[in-house]
Amino acid sequence: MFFNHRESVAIGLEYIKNLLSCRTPYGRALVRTLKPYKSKQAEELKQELDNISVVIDLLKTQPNDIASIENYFSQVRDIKRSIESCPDVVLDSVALFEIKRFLLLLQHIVASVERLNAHLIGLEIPSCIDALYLINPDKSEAASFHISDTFSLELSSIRRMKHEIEVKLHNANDEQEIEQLKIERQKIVEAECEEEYSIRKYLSEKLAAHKDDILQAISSIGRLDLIIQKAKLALLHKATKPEITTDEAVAFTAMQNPYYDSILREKKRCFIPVSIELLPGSTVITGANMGGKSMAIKTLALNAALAMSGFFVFAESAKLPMIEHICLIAQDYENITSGLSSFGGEILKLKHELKHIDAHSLMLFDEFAKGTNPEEGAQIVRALVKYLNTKKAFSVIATHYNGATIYAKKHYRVAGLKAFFEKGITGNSENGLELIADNMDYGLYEAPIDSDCPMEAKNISRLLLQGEEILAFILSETD
Amino acid sequence: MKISDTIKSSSVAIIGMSKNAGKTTVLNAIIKENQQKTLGITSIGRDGESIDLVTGTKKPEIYVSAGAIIATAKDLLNSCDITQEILDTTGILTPLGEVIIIRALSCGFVQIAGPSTVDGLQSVCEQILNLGAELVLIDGAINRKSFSVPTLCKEVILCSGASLDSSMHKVITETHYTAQLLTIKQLEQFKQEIAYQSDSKFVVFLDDNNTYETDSPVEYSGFISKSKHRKSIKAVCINGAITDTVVKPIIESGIRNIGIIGFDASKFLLSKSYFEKLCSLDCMLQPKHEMELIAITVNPYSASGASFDKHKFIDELAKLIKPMRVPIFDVQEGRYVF
Repeated sequence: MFFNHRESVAIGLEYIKNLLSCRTPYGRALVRTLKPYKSKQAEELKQELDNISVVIDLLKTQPNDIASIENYFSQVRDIKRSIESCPDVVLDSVALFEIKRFLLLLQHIVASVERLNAHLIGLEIPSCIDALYLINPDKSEAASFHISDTFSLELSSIRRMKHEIEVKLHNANDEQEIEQLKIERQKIVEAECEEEYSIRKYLSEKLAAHKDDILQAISSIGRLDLIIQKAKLALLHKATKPEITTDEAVAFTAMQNPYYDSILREKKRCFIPVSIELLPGSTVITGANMGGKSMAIKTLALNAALAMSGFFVFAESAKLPMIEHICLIAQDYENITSGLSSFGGEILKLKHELKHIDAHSLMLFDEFAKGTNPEEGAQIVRALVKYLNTKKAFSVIATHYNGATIYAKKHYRVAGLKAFFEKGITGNSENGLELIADNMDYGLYEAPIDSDCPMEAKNISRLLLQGEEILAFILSETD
Repeated sequence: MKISDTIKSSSVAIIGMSKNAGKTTVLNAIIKENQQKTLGITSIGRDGESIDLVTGTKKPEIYVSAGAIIATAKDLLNSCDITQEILDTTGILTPLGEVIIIRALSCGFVQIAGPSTVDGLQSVCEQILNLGAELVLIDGAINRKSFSVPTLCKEVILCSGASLDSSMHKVITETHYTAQLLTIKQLEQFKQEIAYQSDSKFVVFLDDNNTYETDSPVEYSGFISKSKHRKSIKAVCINGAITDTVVKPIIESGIRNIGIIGFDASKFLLSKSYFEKLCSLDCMLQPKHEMELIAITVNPYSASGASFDKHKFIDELAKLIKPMRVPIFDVQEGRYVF
């Protein structure tokens, strides 16, 4: 995936993964090891998205058929390792039982997928019926498995002898006779065991011929399982299909982040949708502290990553080319173990990420160089914006430092409290925090590249420090 | 009267006072007596090896008839010489692999290692019953400290024998005491307290329907010892073992006529003398899961070779057990006293 676990939690990707409740171990494995599509797999990515559209329609028109598939899916157990080990390993009875149970279930799955009569691309599920006949020669519908007499005449005669001796044992009274019969029985048990082994060996070898088909079925089942979950997620959150283009532009309108929204809702607030368009080169986002720049950047990271991993995105519309590499440099790179400052951590990560920057990269910087002194910090951010503007990669730099926007292709501003202060509303220190929270506009607005960062720190102080002695000192301070 | 005649429900646990108390002999006797029934067999933990893994002595093996349903660990399937049909897997893991449910397609010897937790055992028993078993036999634990049985199983057979101690008197007293603990019934007056659900280690029920809950043994005994609470305590519930230490503050404060609630008889680990002191104070042990002791079996032979006078052993024990109305069997001799 694009992100390490900590980043994945921070942007809300883990939250989204936890919303998926795949029914099969194969689907769950795909979620665990979620992989973005590579640039050359654009067609496959589009297919996946088309499949999700198909399933979304099915969920609306044939919900019961999907539910019945999911019901079969929830009975699927993991047999992948047993199948992969054929024919090198002789499967034991329990493994054969599990394979038989899977193959019986597979027949129901194939039938119910056929019943959907839907155009799902690249999700063919072979029925593997010949493999089923192989280990189930009696064609029993029962899920149980035993090495039946049908497999060999030899076995059936051994078992007849075993039975006869057991009858004799049952009727015997003489200690010596019983001991003798037990010894005889032991020999027959050993012969039975050997014959069963050779049958299991034969079955394991023969199953190897069906290995590819069974693995194909397993893979398609896992993928369909995940697609159903993706479709349900899309329906639940009104997600849309991203348009994968070959244009050199990224555009998201009204992006959402369900993770942040869930956190904000606990505080009786909600996430304000964010719209943004990127061109190759630098885009700078400015805005006051507390202004949601970080949320905007991480929401972009989440939705771009989801689109590239074959998910619908949380936005009203989305257009983007293939992105192979998303780099997120956020404030939390302080590496305590190696004794680096947060700035040092950012620089090291930057050095590493710049190695594979290309036209398929999305570079995201959240308050870069915030931890160092403001003068140098501002210079470094300016340099970064200038440098990235010469590259084909899409770069977004959120900063509250002045003077960087002029070197960027585009400039967005978080509206913040501008409108609130322009209205001239003042509060008192009692309800100041609430007023800020209520009036903060987290929306992103495109601004001219030669306009500066909004200066709101003094206004905020005025609001929160009303009546305090220090306020006069703050307000009288100028450059 | 046969030992099977004492079984009234669809599952029974066979528990031992010690190793070599004759559990497997009892199990085999029940299997033999129920050849027409579809039997289910499992155990809590491992049992059924031909050589006792602890003492190294030769033990009887479990011999089942065709049709029996057995839940045992995967690694032991090779040691079962029956022809097997795999019926289901359980997802329950033991040190010997997943517990697998099989059907015996022939007679033969089996080695059994069922789930090692009570919850696991409960779900396996349910699975066996669903697969058509008419009677599930649970080869239970080998000592008083671990004889928990799943809540679906109420009936218990207690196996005692010379292996417990070289003194017959001691074996008889211990067996009688264990039988007393196993036959404790829930009393109507503590119904509400028994049903009370809490995660706290100690819950003290007071007369005004209030409770005092704590996880700290020190706080618990401090609360009990305070003279102002003495008269108002109605019952205590201990989430864990009820030991001498736990009941000591009750005895020392001279509290009378209260209920002391534990999960089941396996949690009543207090010594006989403390148990008797509680009885004299009218303080009653109360199990959340009530068991029914349906039979006691005796094995006068110990693994070390020593043996008791088999008639004297069973008769002396019978004198003590008589008021409980529980039959005593010597399975090997085919004798019983009731």
